[in-house]
Amino acid sequence: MTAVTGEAPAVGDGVLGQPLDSREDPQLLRGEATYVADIDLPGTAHMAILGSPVAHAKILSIETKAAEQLPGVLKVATAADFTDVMPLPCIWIPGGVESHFPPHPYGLPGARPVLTGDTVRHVGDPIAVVVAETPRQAAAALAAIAVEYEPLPVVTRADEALAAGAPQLHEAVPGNLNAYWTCGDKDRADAAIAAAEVTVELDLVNQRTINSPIEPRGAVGDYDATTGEYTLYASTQGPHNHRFLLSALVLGIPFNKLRVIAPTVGGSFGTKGYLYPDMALVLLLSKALGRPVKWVDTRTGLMNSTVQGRDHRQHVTLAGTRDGRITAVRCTSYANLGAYPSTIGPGVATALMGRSISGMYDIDAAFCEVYAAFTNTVSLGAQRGSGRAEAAFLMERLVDRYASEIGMDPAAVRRRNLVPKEKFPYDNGLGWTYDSGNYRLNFDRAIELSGYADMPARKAEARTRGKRLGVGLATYVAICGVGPSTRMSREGMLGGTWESANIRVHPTGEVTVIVGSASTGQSHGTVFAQVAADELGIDPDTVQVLEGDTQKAPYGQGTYGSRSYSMAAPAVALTARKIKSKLIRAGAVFLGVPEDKVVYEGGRVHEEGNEENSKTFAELAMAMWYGWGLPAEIEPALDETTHFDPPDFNYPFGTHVAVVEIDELTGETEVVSYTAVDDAGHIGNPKIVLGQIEGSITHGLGQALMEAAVYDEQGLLVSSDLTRYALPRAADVPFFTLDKTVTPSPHNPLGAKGAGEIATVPPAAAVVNAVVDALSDLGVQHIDMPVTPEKVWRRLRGEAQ
Amino acid sequence: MILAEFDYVRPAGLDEALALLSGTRGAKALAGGQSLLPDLRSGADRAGLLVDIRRLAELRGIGRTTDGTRLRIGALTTLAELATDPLVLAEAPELAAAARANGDPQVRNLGTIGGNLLAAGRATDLPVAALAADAVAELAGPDGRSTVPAEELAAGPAPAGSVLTALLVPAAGPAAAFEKTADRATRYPVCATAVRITPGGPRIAVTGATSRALRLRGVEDRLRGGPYGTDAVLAAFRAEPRELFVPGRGTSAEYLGHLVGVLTARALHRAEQALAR
Repeated sequence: MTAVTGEAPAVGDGVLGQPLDSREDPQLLRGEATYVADIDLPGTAHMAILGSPVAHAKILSIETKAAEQLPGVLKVATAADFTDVMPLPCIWIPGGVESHFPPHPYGLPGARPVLTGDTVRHVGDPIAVVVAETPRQAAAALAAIAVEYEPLPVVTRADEALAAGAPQLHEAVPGNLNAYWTCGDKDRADAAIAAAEVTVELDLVNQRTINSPIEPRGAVGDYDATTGEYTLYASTQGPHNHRFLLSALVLGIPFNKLRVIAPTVGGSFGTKGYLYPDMALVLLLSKALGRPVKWVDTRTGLMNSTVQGRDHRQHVTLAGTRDGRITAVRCTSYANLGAYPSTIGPGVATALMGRSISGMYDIDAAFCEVYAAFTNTVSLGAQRGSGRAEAAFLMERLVDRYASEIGMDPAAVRRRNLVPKEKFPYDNGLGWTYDSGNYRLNFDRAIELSGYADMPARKAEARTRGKRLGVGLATYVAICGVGPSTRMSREGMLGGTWESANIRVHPTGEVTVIVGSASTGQSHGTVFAQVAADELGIDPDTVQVLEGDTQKAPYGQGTYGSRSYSMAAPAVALTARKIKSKLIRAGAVFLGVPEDKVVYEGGRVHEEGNEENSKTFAELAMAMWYGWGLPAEIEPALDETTHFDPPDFNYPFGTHVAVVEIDELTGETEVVSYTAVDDAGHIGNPKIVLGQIEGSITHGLGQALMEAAVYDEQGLLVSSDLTRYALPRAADVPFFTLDKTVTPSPHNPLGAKGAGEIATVPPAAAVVNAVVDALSDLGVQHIDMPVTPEKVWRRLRGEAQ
Repeated sequence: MILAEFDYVRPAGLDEALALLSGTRGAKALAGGQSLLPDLRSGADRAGLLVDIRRLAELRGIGRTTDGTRLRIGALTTLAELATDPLVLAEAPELAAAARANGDPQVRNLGTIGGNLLAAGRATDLPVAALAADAVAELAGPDGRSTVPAEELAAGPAPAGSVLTALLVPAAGPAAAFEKTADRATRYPVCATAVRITPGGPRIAVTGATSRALRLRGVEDRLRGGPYGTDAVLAAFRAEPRELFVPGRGTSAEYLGHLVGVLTARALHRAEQALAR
C-alpha cells in the first residue's frame, strides 16, 4: 500500500497503526490452532443429523427402531423428544413495520424448531439425530431412519413465493410475506422520476451465494450433572449472544448455567453469529446421555444448512438531468429469506440493503421497498458486505446505465454527484447519517491510480490481441460499527449492540486485555494488544488478549459487520485510559507531588519538570498490587472495564476500478487489473487490514464471475459441494493496486471505521460495469452475474440476455 | 464425508501387487490417490483393500526406448515431474502442457500419470494428449505384459487386475500443443484439446466437450494439408455432428462445439509456430 492521501493527521509514534505481524496467523497456517473439531473431551459421543432430502413435504411418519439397533448407536431423537424445547428465535426483524414469523412461546418472532416434526421446508431441514460411539456409526445409522413424506409444491424464488397460489410455508405467515418494508420518500422519488429529463431502469438479479469459511461449523455440548451446568464449544462469532439466546430463549435454563466457548474459528464471513439447531441439540443430548456430545459439519452439510447470502431480485430506476445530475433513485426488491428466518436475516435483507442504496451520491429523492419472502431454500443471512453489496450493485449499475444514456463519461457523472465534504454529517434521506467523508479526494485518487485516462489507448491495444478491454467503476458507503443500541432497536434489533473490554494489570507489569468480541481469524490478539500498548506506552508483547469464552470475558456481542475495531478496540482504548487515569492519581501519591504535576508518558509517570522522580509501569503495577500507602479514595489493583455504546454508526467508503479483458472468440473474462482506494478511518494494523481488503476484493470478484447457489425446480441445491460451487483461486485474480484515504469517524475515540468486509461491497458492480463497457458497442446494457464465458459469448454474437 | 474403512497393504514388488489385485475382492491400486481417495470419501467408489504401489521402482523413470523413437514414461511419474521433464518438453510438449494444466501444485505433486490416464469418469487432461501423440500404454496383469493404444484405453476400462506400468510416446519434437479451458470449480477441462502436426497431417484429440477423450479423424481429414486458420478450423468442427458435444454444468453443446474449435485453432497455431522456430 502506498502513502496515505487523506486529510487526517498521521497516527502517533506508538505501536498503534504499525504493521505488526499477526500473532495468530502462524498457528492457523501451521494447523496448530484448536478448532471445535479438535476438542476431544473424555467419553465423547458423536452426533449426526438427518436432513430432509426433499424441499417441501409433510412428514407422515418417522421410524427409528432399525437405527437404534445398529452397532454403537446410543440414541436416536426426533422432534417428539424435544417438545419442551422452545424454537430458535429471530432477533433482527424488519424495523418499524408489520411482520410475520413462526411462533415462539414468549411472543418473540420465532425462527425454527430444533428438529422439525410436521413439515420439512428445505433440503437439509433437520428431522432427526443419531448419537453413537463414533462419527462413522452415527452417520451410518442415519440411513436406517425411515421417513415417510407427502410431497408439497416447492417455491424457490421470492417473487414467485408472493404470487397468488404459491405454495405456503408457514401457517403464521400469510402469503409467505415476512414483511413489506420501506425507507425514504416514495412520493418525492415518484414525482422526481415522473418529472425527470432522463430516466433509466434495470431489472437485476443479485444471485444467492454460499458462505464458504474454510472451517465448517461444529459444536460440542458438555453437561455436568453434579453442578447442573452446560458448556457449549462452538464455532461462533458471538459466544455471549449464543449464551443468552440458547439459555433464556431456547433451553429455558438459567443464564448462569450455560458457558459458551469459541475456540479458534476458521473463518465465518457472516455465518457463525447465528443460532443453529445443532447448538441446542448437543447440549440437550449431552444431558440426556450423561456424556459430551460432538457434531462437526461436512462441506455439503454446510451448504445445505448454514446461512447463505445476497439473493435479491430488483427493479431499479434512476432519474437525472441531461447534464449528469442525479435527481432520484428508486428500488423495488424481492428478498429471499429462505425457509425460516435466520437469527438476523430479515434485518439484513431490509435495512442493511435498503438504507444503503444511494451510496456516495447526494441524491434529493430516494426510496426503497423490500418484499421479504419465505421460500423452500436454506435460510438467508449475512455474507461479508451483506446488504451494502446488493445496494452498491444496483446503484453503480444504474449510474453506468445513466452515463451511457446521456453520453457522459461514467467517472464524470460520479464525480459530479458525490456528497460534498461540507455536507457532513450527511443525511442520505434513507435513514443513515453519514459520519464523515472526503469522497472527492478518495474518488480522484482511485481514478488517478488506476490510469483511467489511459483506458482508450489500452482498449485499442487490446483489440489488436483479439481482446475487448472494459473499465468499470464502483463507489460505495458501507455502514459499519453496529452499533448504537438504541438506534439499532429502531431498526428492529431485539438486543443491545454495544461492546466491552476489561483490562487487568498484573503485579509484575504484564497486562491482560479481555474483550467481549470473538475473532474468526481477524488477528484480534495482535490489534487489541496494540491498542492497549499504545495507550499505556508499553510493549505490545507484554499484553495478552483473551476472548471467546463467556466465563472469562465481559459481556459483548461478538464480531460481525466489521465491528470489532470500531466497537471493541475503542472499549480497549477507553479502559486503558481509565487505568492511566488511575495511575496518575496513584502516581501523585507515590511520587509525593500534586496530581496536576504528574506526567504519564512512555509507560511511566514522572513529576513535571523532574524526570528523576519517576516510576515505571511495572513499578506502579507492583505498588498497586501491594496497595501500601494508598489513600481511601484509591482502590488497590488495576482492573477496569468499559462498555462502549457509540452515539451512531460509522460509514467507511471507497472507490474501486476494475479492468477486464474479454476474449472475443471464447467470451472468457479476465480481470487484468484492479484498483481499490478504501477509507476505513484510522487503521490499527495496516498489514492485517491489507489482508482483509485483498480477501474482500477476491470475494467480490467471486460473485461477479463464478459463484452462484443453484437450486433446481424441486428445491435441490445443485451446487452443494466445492466441485459444483466455484470459489475464486489465487490464479483467478490479478495483483491489486491498493491505496487508502483516512477520514476519522467522530463516533469513537480511535477515529476508526469498519474495515474487514468493506472492500467486498463494490467489486461485483465494478466488474459487471467493466464487462458491459467492453460490450457497449454491441448495445449491451446489462449482463447478469455470474458473468460466465458462454453468457458473454452469446452477447458477442448479438443475442439478447 | 467420512472415509470408508478398507485394508491397506504395501507390496514389495510388482508381481506381489498383481497377485493381490487379482486375488482380492474389492482390491484397488493406490498411487497418487488424487482420484481414488476423494471417491472413497464421497462414497462414489469403494475398496476392500488398497494396494499401495507408490514405491514400486519398475513403475518409475522417464527415458528413451532403445530404438530412440519413443519415450517410455513410468506410470508413477508425477504430473509435476512430467510437466518439467526436459526430454518430455522437447519431444512430447503436449503431454508436458497437459500435466501442467492439471489441478493445482499439490495435486500435481502427488498425482501420477497412471492415475490421470485411468481416472474413470473424470475428464482428465492427459488422455487427450496421449491420443494426439498416438501413445501406447504398457500394462502388467495376471496373464503377463501387454500394450494397449491410448485410444483404446480412453474408450473403456483397463483390464481387471492389471496395472498400468508405463506410457510409450512417439517422439515428435516441438510440433505439438495443448489448450484448455478449465472449469472454475474443479479445474477439470470444460474443454481441452491436444494436437500434433505430423507429415501425414494433424492429429487432433479433444475432451471435456465430448463424452470422453476422442480423436477427431473427421476434423483431421478436413484440415489435412492446412492451412490451420481459425475460420478453417471452426468450419471443420462445425461439420461434426452436433451430438458429439455434450452439454453440462451450465454450458451448452453449441458453445462447447465452438469453444473446442477455437482451442484447437489456437493449439494448431502454437504447434506451427513451434515448428517454425
